Amino acid sequence: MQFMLMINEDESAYGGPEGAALLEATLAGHMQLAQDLVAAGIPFSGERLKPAATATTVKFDAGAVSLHDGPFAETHEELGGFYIIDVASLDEAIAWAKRIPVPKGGIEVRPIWPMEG
Amino acid sequence: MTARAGLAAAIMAARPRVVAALAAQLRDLDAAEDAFAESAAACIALPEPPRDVPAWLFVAAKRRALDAIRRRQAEARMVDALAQESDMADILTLPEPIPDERLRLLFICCHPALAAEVRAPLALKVICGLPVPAIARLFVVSEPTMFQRITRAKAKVREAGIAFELPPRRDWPERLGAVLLALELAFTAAYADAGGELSAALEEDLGAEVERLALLVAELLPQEPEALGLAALVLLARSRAGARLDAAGAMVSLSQQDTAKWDYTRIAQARAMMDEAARAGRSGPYQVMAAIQLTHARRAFDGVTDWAAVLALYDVLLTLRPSPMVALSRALALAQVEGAGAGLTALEALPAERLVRARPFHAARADLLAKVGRVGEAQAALDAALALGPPRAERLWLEARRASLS
Repeated sequence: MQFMLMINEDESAYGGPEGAALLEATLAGHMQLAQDLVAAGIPFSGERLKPAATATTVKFDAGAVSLHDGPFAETHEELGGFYIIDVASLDEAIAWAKRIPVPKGGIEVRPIWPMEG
Repeated sequence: MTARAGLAAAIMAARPRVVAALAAQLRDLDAAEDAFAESAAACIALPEPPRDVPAWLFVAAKRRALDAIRRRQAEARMVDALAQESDMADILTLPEPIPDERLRLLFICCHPALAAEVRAPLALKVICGLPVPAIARLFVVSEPTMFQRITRAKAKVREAGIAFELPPRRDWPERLGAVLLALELAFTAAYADAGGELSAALEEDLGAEVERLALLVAELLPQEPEALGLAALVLLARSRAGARLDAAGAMVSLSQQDTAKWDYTRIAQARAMMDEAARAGRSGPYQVMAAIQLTHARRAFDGVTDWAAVLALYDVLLTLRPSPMVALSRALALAQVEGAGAGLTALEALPAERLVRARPFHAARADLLAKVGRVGEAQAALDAALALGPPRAERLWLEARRASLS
């Protein structure tokens, strides 16, 4: 079954004097993870998102539509990217989630609603 | 025991194995539980009880589950695969050997992806078949709340893709920790019911159910010393069930209990399990807790309690798993070894704000204050414990102590 691994991380970790090196190491970790997924024969996709400051939220409230400058929820951790992987169980999905490089934050693991038929 | 009661007991005893085997095949906890309930009802209605109750239940439940799936006309492939096996069994009319999937079921019910507070309730419901009202009372939440928690947990198991396979051996330490924590929560809740008030009100022996689950975990994981340690701990607590209340129904503290009323079969069983655990050469908090209780049990043989040994064990436990409650127990042991004054000093150094809702804290303080002659403060401490609404047996005990100080 398919799972989405949502990377919620503290973007500010990549700021400061050590930030560039940390970002480089994290990206290298993602490259390694992608290679490992390929080697394990696991179908997957994934994307990195631009910082939350670039987000625009379209809000709906009782038929009214409005735009909001910023991400949907103002939190310390922002959605920074995601993977979609196809594995046998939540346990396997969690095992892969644990290998995603995240300096500070967490990974939300969610099953994807299967397409009928 | 009547034949009917004997059959009901046989059905209860068969439940963990049969439900686990059903869950492993059906990959659905609700379907497994429903099928078992239906086959148990059918079994009781038989004119003659079957010779092999577990096998009869398993075959009947599987057939019923298949019927249910057919009726829903879903998951066609699974039905075909299972139907083949079932038809074979029908043709042979021999009892199918029931595969032992209890460990799998235990790991599913205590999956770390489930909230810690729902794991023990789920295990007691699915594996032991304890009714939801009993579980709700055990964990001191309302029935609708507990029902909702269990329903939600089952839905998560079904929808989130929690594996029905046995986890690989390397993942066991993490998974085992979740299982043991669930069991410990159930044990703590059952043990707080000193007077058996819950059990009597529900006509369910909750302590016996938790013991059954603890022994099952130890049986399934004989290589895990902490699983053995926790089972030994439960056995030792249960060995004193007959001595915990006096004739008036008041709680009797451990040091005042009549050792002749202890159950020596359970003590011996616990001791054997701890010896087995020690052979693994890996100690842990549950083994230390069991060792403390075993040291108390030795009073029956030695006539006195080796408080220096108890204190040393609490020191170990405090480094393995520090908590205010462990520190409180340590302070009481210290009082026995070095005097009430030393115990009181240690107790007063504890974070009172984290213990103010704990009745044992106030009871312990009262005990030590009385011993050093601060009677007024001791009375106030007992009043504080009574104000927290203890169960009847504990209330009677506190009131008796309060009266003895006046």
